[in-house]
Amino acid sequence: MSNFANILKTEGVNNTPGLKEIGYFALKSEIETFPVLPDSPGTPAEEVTLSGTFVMTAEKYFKKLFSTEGNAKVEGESQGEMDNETYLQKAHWVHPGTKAEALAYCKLAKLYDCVFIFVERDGERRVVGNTSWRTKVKAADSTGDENTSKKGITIEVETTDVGPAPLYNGAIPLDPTPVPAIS
Amino acid sequence: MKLFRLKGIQSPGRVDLKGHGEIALETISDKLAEKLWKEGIPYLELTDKGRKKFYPEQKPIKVNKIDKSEKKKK
Repeated sequence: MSNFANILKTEGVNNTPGLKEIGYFALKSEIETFPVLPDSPGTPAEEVTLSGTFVMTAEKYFKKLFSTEGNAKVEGESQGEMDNETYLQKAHWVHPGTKAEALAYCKLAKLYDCVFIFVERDGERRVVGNTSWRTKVKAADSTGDENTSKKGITIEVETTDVGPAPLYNGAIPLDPTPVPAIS
Repeated sequence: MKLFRLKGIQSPGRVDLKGHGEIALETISDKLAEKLWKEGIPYLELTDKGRKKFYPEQKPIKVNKIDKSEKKKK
C-alpha cells in the first residue's frame, strides 16, 4: 500500500518560508534513545514523522545555535542512480559573531557526529541527522572586511537519509540552566 | 505538579516542546503534564497520588513476612 495523497494548495493558509532563529544540536554519542521513522507508516504524515522522543544520557542536552533571521535553511534532494537512490539532506546556518564559543564550534564540528533540529516558521521541527549515516559538518569563519560585511561563522550540514529531513513532534531536552539566546 | 514527577531529566526539566516553546516540566500544571504523559513524553512519571488517580484499581502487592523460625531450621 502506498501513502501517496493529493498535493493541493490550501486556500487561506500561510506558507511562511524560513527557519526560526534558534536551532539545536547534540552529539549522537550523547543520545540514549533516537526517535526513528515508523517501519510501516500508514499515512503520508507517518512517512515523514519521527516516532518517539530524544532521550539523552545522564546530564547531556541539546545545545542551542542562534542564527540571524533570513540566514538559515534546510533543504534536500534525491541522489544516486536509478534503483540506487538515497536522499541528501542539507542545512545552511549562519551565526553572527566570532566569539570563542563560535570558533570552538568550528574547530570541533568536524570531529563529532551530530544531529540537528531546526524549527520552521510555522513551528514544524526538522531533524537533520540519523542513526544510519554520519552527519558531515563543514564550518567556516569570517571577520568580514568592510563596515557592512558579515562577521560570523557559517555551518553547512549534510547527511544521507531515505527522505527529506523528517518532522519531529517530541521534546528537545535542554540544559537545566536557561542560556540567553542572543550572541 | 502533584500527580507527576520528573524522570530521566535534571530538575527543573527544561525542554522545548512543539506548541509550548521552552518550558520547565517541573513547573507545569497537572493538566498539561497529563496531556504530555498521554502523548508519551518520557520525562514524566506518576507519583503515588497520580497512580491512585489513573490506576485506582491497582493495589499494593501484599508481601508476607518471612517466618524467622522456618529460616533458622534451614
